Amino acid sequence: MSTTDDPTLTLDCDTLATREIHRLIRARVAEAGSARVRLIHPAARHNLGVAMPEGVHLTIEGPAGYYAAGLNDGSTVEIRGGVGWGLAESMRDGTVVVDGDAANAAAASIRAGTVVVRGNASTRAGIAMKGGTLIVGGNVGPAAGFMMQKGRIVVCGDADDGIADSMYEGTIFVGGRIGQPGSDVVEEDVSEAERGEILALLERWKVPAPARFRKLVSGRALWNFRKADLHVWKSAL
Amino acid sequence: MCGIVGFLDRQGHRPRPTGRVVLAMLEALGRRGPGGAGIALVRDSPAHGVWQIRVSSKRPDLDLSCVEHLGGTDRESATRQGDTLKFTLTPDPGVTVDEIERALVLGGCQLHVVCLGERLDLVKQVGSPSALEATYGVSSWQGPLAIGHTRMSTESRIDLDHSQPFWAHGLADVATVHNGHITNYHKLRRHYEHRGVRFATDNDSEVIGVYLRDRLDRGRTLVDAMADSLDALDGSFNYLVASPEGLGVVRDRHGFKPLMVAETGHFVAVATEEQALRKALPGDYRVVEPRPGSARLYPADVPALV
Repeated sequence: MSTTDDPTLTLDCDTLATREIHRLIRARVAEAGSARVRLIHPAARHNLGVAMPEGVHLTIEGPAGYYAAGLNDGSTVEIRGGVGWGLAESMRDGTVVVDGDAANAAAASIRAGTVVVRGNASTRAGIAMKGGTLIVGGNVGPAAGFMMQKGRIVVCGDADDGIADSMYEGTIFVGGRIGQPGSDVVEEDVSEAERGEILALLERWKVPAPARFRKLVSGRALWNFRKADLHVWKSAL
Repeated sequence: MCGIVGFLDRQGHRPRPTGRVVLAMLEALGRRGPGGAGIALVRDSPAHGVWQIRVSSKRPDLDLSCVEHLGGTDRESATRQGDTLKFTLTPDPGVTVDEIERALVLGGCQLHVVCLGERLDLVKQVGSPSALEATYGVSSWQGPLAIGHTRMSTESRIDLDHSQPFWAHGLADVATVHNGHITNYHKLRRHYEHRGVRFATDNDSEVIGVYLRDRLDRGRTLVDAMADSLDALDGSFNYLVASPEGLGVVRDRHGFKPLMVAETGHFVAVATEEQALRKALPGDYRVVEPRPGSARLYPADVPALV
């Protein structure tokens, strides 16, 4: 069965356990090589669309709970509503698009792929990202990009306090106001090439672009221990 | 882990009793904590000058001799529900909440006061939210707002008295529910005990009510006292306050614990997990996570929408 004539599978959360939903999707992929799935009546249930493999295109028709599309393994997951904590957490690859808002730790520790939150993202968006791209159409809460190691975050709205705190590598672009930045954050100029790349990215995901961006990167001062900082460490620990 | 819920009605005419809404939310969170369940509700109409008191006691009889010198008690209205007894007391002029509680606890009756107030009722027990309904019939409770709790005990005893909500002892009509851990509890407790405050349990969550009461005694408003607590309390905490003034929602500065809030023209609803809101309150509404370090009081006296 080819992808094009593969009919959409509609699954109802009202009648199926989460484990059964995932089993049915995996069975469809194993049989047909791909699966287009609509999940109805999600009612903010947790752990929906977790660890979905490549070939799955899952649309969740409403709000999802915690860890939606967590451990994503290459699938595309669209969520027609908001999500709770840990959206797409530790995603290996794939695409996750949320129409509404995301709670704490959206795209935490993702390795690759793209996460799009059209609304606002709460605290610690993109914490410990190891690659990939996080796009937030609205604002981000405190400590976005905390200890980020690689990858890219694009925030079209405002960024709350502590953004980019202690990040190792990676790049954060912010369209709106920036609160008190985190430790060891350096602002760099946005090159024309970067600007073009970001605008193309936002256009692709149909996220309205702000007039300008600021670019935040790591100052790399925390990479190595310096004896001169000993008193700081002592007071911190 | 624990689960907390809160609901404030803004319509005046309620399609469903507030008790039923809060119970449905609690049942959705039941697996967050099977150790105990409880609900505190602010009733619609106050019985002016009459305090409704609920005490926990396994004794079948109700000995109120220890408070009879402080006001008029109505033995006829006294009812037993589960391991609690509820009765009314019309205090003599000048009698304080503290005097009543002290008399009940230390005056020979040896009772634990679960709640006291003109408008507050508070029930809790070991077990699930469904068991709470079986004992107290909370689903028919009417009132503008209520809070609830399912408990996963980590440090203190599993019994009725250590379950939540907690009445803010000494403060009529105010109760709290808490999810998290107050890490400077012992320090705060020593501080207050030096000043003569008597703690009713060993549960760290009890200190929130003690703190709020202290701030109010010092002339702070409830919402200011809640804001003050962001600095005074250490650790992880989301807590809710039920008061005739409104529904209080407080998140610690780091947002350690999850909390989701829906605010519409018809209601304000809060829960540890959004699925509790979706189960109890059908409809199309936005649910967001409040900013860490926020203390907000949703007033109870919002006029009904036309």
